[in-house]
Amino acid sequence: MNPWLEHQRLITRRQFFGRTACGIGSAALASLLSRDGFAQTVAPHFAPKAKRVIYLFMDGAPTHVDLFDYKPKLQELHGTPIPDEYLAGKRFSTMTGNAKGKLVLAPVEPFQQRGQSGAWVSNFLPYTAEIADELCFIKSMRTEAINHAPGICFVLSGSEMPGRPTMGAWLAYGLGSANENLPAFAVMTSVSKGTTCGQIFYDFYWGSGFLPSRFQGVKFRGGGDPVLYLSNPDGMSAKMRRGLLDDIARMNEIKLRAVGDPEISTRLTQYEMAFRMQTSVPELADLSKEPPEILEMYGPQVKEPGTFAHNCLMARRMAERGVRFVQVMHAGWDQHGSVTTELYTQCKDTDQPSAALVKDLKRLGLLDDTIVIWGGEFGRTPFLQGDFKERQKWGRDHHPYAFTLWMAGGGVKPGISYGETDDLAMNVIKDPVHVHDFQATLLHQLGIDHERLTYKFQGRNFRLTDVHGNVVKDILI
Amino acid sequence: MARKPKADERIILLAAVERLGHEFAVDQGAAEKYLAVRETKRNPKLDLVEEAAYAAFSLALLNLDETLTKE
Repeated sequence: MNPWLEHQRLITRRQFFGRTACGIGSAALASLLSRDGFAQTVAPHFAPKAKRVIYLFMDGAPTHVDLFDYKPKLQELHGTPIPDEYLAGKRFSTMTGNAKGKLVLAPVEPFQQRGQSGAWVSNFLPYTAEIADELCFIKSMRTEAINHAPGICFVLSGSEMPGRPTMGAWLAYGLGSANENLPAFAVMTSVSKGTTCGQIFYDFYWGSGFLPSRFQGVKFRGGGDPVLYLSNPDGMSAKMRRGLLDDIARMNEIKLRAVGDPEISTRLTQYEMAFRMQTSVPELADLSKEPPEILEMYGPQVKEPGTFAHNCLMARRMAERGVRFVQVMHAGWDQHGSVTTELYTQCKDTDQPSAALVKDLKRLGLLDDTIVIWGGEFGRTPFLQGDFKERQKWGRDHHPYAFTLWMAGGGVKPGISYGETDDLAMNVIKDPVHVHDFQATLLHQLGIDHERLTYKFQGRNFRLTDVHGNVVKDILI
Repeated sequence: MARKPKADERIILLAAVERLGHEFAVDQGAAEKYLAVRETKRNPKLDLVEEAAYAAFSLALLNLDETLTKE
């Protein structure tokens, strides 16, 4: 073996295995056994409150102004130019450009206070309203990005530029898997029917960046086989497949000994994972034993693969089976010209299943150690995008300065609203929660000190929260 | 991947072809099904079992890390 190549390829891998005396061969074996207690993981650093996460990622940025952040003054100023002082020092997307003189737009639907906690939730979300007492609404989220891909990438990986490991990958790396037959990090995507929104699900939203690639999210598809090419080709028996996989493994091991590329051991482990998933995925996707009342709770689309409702139920089944991080992404929230039209469909498709998921986890006793998150990459402007005279095309532009996100379970305080925006839902004025604070808090609940979960790459240690982030202790039980 | 196998690899690969041959010989229907997925017509002069064995064997070769990754 070329000593320079060996150094280049293995230095990070050796660090990953905590500088133990593992040779390359045993390191490959160790990666096959990366579930709880079988291999060294770098975390937890302290006793976790939560074991797993289901992130309902609302791609496109839901309007906090219409859904959660109730401001009567918007109604008062409806149709009048937004006062200049609210806009000082702000930049908006190129669609808005200079926001001076933009007209205030009141929420489209009325709000009500819900449950014992009295949280404000719009009539757009009747099912979410019902479970308000289970939720922690963070009303003071803020971010850096003003466009979707950088915004989503920032929330999921801590960087606006693609290339860093995403949260699920960090957790798979830090905590390992709790089920050797399923990936530690799973991803499902959906889009509301009839939406004009053109959001794309980029693979880097579940990438592993510079972490070994076996930590990247495995995407489950909405139709046909949930995972492509898992089934054996026609005419090939399971025994034949097993034999071939053993042959490939033996050949790859020879190559691994010769060149030491850690990506070869990734390939070895992923072929084995795929083989085990031939059994575990059909069992996972089989909903025939779900009680009818449970299916009903998730709403009419639950049996239709590829819908948000179906993905929510699948997420619960994954959580039950120990999948560490389930990333359920739903696009269509980009209401530039559709707060009075498509927003209704968007809410209808997501409201009932999101609430059902929380209720279902609670029913099964899983909510105590599962964190559910519902939120997008930023908020939407309290002022109008479009022509005031044309109600059918009213919209709101991107708004990074304030948005709302909710969390449930996993040791997060239920029935509270945290943080506050000003009287037009424009700026955070109390208890700001920056994306990095949110990330630090999430890791904290999983027993991880966000400053200590690091990975050395290109000469420096990287973390999800970069050099930022404070745990928001006030929202934790 | 365009090279002759080394001694240790040769043992693994020859054993694989032989084993696959045995398995398809026991179930010739499986061999037919396995070979049905193709763009060119099957050459009837070729032995069914041997062809299926080599086709499956090729699947393994094409999925080796060395085939998929240039070091």
